[in-house]
Amino acid sequence: MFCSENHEDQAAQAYPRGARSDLSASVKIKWYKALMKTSFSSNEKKTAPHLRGRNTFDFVLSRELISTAILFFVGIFLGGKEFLFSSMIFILTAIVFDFLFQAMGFVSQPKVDSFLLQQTLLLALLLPLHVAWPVLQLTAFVLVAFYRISGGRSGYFVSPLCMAWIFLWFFEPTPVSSEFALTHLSLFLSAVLFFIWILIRFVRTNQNPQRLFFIFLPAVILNTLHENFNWATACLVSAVASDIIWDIALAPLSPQGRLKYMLICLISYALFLACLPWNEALIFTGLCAGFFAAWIEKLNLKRRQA
Amino acid sequence: MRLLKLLLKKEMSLGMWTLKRPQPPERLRVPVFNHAPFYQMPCVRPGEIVSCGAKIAEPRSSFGISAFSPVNGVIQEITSCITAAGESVLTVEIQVDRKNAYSFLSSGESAAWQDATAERLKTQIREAGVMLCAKKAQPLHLVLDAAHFYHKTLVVNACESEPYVTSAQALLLARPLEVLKGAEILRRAAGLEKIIFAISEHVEQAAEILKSKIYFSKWNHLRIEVLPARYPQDEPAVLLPRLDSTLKNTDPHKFKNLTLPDIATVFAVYEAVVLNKPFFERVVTISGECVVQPQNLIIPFGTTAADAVKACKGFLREPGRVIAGGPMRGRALADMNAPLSAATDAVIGLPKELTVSAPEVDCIRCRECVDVCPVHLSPALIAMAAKNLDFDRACELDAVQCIACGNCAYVCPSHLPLVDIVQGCF
Repeated sequence: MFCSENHEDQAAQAYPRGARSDLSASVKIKWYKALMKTSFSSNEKKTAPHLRGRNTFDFVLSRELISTAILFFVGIFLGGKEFLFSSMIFILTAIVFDFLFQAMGFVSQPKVDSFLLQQTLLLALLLPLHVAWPVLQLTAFVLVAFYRISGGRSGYFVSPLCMAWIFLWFFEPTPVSSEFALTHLSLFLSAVLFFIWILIRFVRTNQNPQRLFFIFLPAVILNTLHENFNWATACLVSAVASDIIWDIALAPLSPQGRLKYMLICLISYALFLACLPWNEALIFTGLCAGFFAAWIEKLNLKRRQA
Repeated sequence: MRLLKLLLKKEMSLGMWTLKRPQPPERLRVPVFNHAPFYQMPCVRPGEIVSCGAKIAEPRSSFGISAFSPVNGVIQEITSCITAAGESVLTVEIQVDRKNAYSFLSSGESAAWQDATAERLKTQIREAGVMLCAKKAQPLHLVLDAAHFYHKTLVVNACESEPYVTSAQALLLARPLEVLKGAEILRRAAGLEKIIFAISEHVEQAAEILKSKIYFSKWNHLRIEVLPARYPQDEPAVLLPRLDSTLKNTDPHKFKNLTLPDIATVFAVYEAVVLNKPFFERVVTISGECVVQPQNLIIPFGTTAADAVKACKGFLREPGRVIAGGPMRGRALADMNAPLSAATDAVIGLPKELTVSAPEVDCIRCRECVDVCPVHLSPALIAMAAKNLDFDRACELDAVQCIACGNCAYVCPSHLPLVDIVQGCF
């Protein structure tokens, strides 16, 4: 029969409306369990809204993964066997460690986390070619460990990708500053790749167009400060950078906070770029981004309270 | 703020413009306590014979309101139950006289309202038991006394932005002059200066009819505003800044308590004052892919949702969910025998393929919910605070200001029940 239970009533009975903040932890847990029981555990929701939008979690993540994977395959094409082997070792190690972490967390059916995979592909793209395999494996371990320990996607405070890269930087500071796999792309190929990236990321995904502006602006700065990039490659690099710096898990939620965050990140990127190679500037900006986001969120909250 | 452009699917219930009153069912359970208990009490006993329009409950205080029998019949019993809109009420069960169910005789259209004072109009509205037909129905005379109106202007909310629901549109098309008169009476009763009809662009045909009626009536204080069909356009926090561009930067929470009567209320005022008819029925949309003959019907209060669907020849196939109200803000019916009240404007039978959603996953902080929130909340942050049992922080984030429009949960790619979480925080 189509008739459903009245979940709102259940939740209200378990935890009546009123001064919720004054209640003890046990009562709060009781209420939360009731809420979980009524809404989280069931796949078929009984409460409003009864219709859902088209965008799903898998759709959003698959777009991110596909766009990065395309760049990665082009990287393999340009980087040759050396890039293929080092990146494959890095990726496979990350997947194995992820499965191990999931198994430790008593997950009965571990599965590949598409967001972690995207971060792994991004880091693989930025990795230097002449790093020893054990170091690569340790870097993969740091990436996965930081990601899982901090609670997975949207749980971390500092980008795991940046943390893993810093770890690698301590081991081999000089080669880390080597060139990006896609640096020597021709203007035409870079432009085509960038166009495809934009198509995948922005068409039918409800992405904020503001982000597009913050891809072009760093490209201009990069092109001004580093003459070895053509315009299209600079845009492509900025697109990759946007996934690290403007990571949706890190950035503030409010529209105004997001704008401030992007501006602060952009200024910090330009400052780092003035004294460091482009990929190091990118990673250090990514590292600071989490702190910027937390600071902006706190300011927003204070303003709201005022 | 980005408003949603939903697939409206309104045409399915607009096949017929004429509003029909179906044959009443065998029994009605007329709700008495609609807004607060003990403000009114039933004044009939089981076994008593009542006629259509007879008083079955009378007010006990100035906050109370009368209830009337919508049919001729015999009182069976007085019980408590939960209405389709979720109100816990006392109901008077009436065994309907099937041979002569509806015999309300109007005294004819009276023009006396044109000379009546505001107090007199208010008394008439109160005596007729007119309720504000919103999600949370309340006596209209109390709303008029509270006088929460926008800049001495009566804004009639005819946007009806929820998919499937067309009850206001049908009323506008079928009874435009009556609706205009109702709005004028309400304006006079509230002591306001102007009237604005806010109409969505999908009801443009009705807007044209209204404009022609205004032209012939020479009511220059009445204005029609056609707005784009977006959801939730009918919320005061969204509607008022669109009507008045100077309000665009105003805190949306300030509009929360403003009264924007809808078309059903305005029409009920017309019937109460001009026709001297008590408020015991309203236009309800019976629609959805699963209903055989979706249409708008004049349904007496106390009709069960099952009987209302039966009046449209029942279901074509087993629905995934039957909803009282629109699919964005309505309530899934646990019991099809729940009686309809003034707060229910639609009964929608949604198919299973529309109601079964993907499983919930963790929040990915995509900010979709923040972008679409009409009152500028951060549902994702509030949900995170609730998950950490930090209700103080949830309150700091203004969870209490949520208007439960459902936008956040609609767009959430992680399929989190954000409305429930945010509403559960206070």
